[in-house]
Amino acid sequence: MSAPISVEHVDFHYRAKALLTDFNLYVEAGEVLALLGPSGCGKTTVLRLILGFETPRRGIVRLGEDIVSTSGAILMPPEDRGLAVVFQDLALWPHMTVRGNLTFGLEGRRVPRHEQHRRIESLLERLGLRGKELVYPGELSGGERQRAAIARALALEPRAVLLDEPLANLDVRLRRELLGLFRQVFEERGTTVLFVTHDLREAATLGDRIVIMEDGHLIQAGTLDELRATPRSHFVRELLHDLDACEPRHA
Amino acid sequence: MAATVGGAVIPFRLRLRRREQGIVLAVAGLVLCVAALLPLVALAAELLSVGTDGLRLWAERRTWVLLGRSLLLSGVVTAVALAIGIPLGVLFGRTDVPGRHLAWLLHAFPMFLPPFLLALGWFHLFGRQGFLGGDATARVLFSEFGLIALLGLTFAPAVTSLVALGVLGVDPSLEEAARTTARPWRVATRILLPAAWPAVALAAVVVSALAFSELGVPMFLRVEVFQTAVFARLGGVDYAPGEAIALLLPLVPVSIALLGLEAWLAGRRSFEVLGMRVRSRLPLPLRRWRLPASIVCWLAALFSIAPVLSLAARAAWGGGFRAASQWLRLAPINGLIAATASACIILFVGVVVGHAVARRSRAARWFDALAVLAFVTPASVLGVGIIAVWNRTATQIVYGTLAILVVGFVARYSVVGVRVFASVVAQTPAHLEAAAAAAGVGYGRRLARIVLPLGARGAAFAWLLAFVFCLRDLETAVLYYPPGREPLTVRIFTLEANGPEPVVAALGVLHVGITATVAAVGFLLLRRKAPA
Repeated sequence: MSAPISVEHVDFHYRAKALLTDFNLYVEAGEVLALLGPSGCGKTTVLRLILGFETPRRGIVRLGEDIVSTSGAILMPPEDRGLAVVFQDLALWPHMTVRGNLTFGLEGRRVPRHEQHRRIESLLERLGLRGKELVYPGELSGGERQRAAIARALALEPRAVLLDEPLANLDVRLRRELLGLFRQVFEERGTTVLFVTHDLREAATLGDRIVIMEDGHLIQAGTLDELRATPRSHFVRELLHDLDACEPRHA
Repeated sequence: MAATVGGAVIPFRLRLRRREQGIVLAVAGLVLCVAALLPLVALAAELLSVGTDGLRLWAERRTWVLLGRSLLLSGVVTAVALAIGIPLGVLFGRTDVPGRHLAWLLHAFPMFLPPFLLALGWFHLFGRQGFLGGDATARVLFSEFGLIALLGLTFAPAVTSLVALGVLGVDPSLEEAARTTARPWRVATRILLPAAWPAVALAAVVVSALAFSELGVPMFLRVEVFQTAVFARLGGVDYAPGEAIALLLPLVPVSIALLGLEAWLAGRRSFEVLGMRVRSRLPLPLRRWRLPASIVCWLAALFSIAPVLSLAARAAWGGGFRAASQWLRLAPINGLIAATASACIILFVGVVVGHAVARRSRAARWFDALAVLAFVTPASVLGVGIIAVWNRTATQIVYGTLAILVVGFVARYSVVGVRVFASVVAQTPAHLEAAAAAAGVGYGRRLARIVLPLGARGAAFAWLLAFVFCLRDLETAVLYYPPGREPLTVRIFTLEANGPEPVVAALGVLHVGITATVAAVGFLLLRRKAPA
């Protein structure tokens, strides 16, 4: 089910301002890629282009073998791309229970009832949401909400999951716990994940590879060790310095 | 003038500053109580003094049939308006219909006009001698069916606009998360509309209250409803004020039921949903449904302005514009003065009470409930109450002047100011005010330097909306307008019975022109970029 994502030579302008210029990104099938950069560098724009909520001025967006967006045109609407997204504010539909949130997308994709049941039960169990099926999002704790949002995304068995800083509002302990859980779940299912963040620690914990963006350009890509070995910009050096300052290396 | 607490002397100025909010809220509440609560209390006292003579009406089957019919008619009108307004609200608010903003504006404009003026326009189209009319169309127009169709069309733009604002106010990420898995139609019906539900509920309550209160259109179409029976006993051939008061008795539970319905269905949630912050996002693509949906939207827009165009044509045809000045008197000036003064008072009440409601003040919630009650109470009830309070020798300075119109408008339309400003404040972070309070800034300065500048556009919108509502009012003003000082709506309404048709049409067009000018200037000012 998982498919690679490819963004090729994309330019994107907003109100005559170039947000992305000749931008390229490749996420392999089953890979968890962390897209990291400072606020306003264009990370979320990349996500929205892949989702089909924005149109590239130039370039191509490809999902698997399908060209889904091209210069000035969206060739495949968002609902047909087979993607799932978790936004920073999670966007759990407040008028639906946890089960309702999980079922909505499955019904939209005409998944048979028994298959819906199987997927939902398995995810509720795996993500520790058993007993919360009939609870509304407003009644869930912070961590439960994050897990419900991830469960909603995974229930669709999407070609890829796009995460837009979904852990930004959590405390450090809970964030670490959830990062570990999500990492396991994504690995078990072989899900392609593009994870947008501005926190190198999060990126290193969840991502197989890290891609650094600055001012609409891709600056560097690699594993944490590769970034450490040859940091290519002041921003990358600063990120590494902050990471090292917070977590002293063990001998 | 100083008090001591624990041995420390608290200066009077400091004590005053600590109670500033309570004092200002009390003043705003007092305005509301004088305008809206006193008439309702006075009416209750009058009801007690009517005695068994007045109550004999309730032994007649006809009275109950009339009441039932009116309630049924307002229910059907509400259903029609919702059936038209909900889909149009989604289409205008969130889809890619070409020119949807202009179409929405044209469709919504008639809600700022008195309904009987639109009825007059439809009459010139489909009446016996109308442009497209004949015996058959006239028969349909002058029937219950005509009344339902006409009021349904008249009130649908209010539903459309509330629903469109509601769906525009829904968090974009809720919609986008759904769009990755569902077709636009499913997103609209399963995510947007349920999330905008308080706006739909509010629309239903507003329309049913307006439909039940409506007097001008049923009188014009000669369909007898409860309001016409009350009105006939207040100023017509059946003059019997005691009976009129007795007739109002069952309308009190109707008002209270509407108030309860509003609190249950919409209540506070409508503040968040009906925000003035419209978040930008891509419209929902209609794809192959775009052409039919566009035709529907533009037909709705044309349908809405059709009666206005027919009024203009009738006025031009018969030389109404030339003769209009002889019939005008000072009616437009009276209306403008009363509406301006009322809108200013409503803005004051709206800012103070609306802010306090949004910040969850318990006292303010009572004032808000009173404002809602005065709006959902049938205009005849409120009007009779106002007459009971102010028609005395000692209060002729109010009752015999334009001030009585101001009292009535403030009573009936304060809810507009309160609810609009509460919506604005509910969406402004409370910590901005908390930071100022922590820095020692008192309530008055916080209101003037933080709340009002941040909600300036909302306040301007509240003023404009209140002004237009006062300008279009007929139902309350017609009951107690001072002789020779009637506003334009009342002037047109009274002339309609025996004045020359082209002149009445011309005065109607003049009213449309005044409203359009005020609305256009207001909206142009509101469109100016807000400070970042």
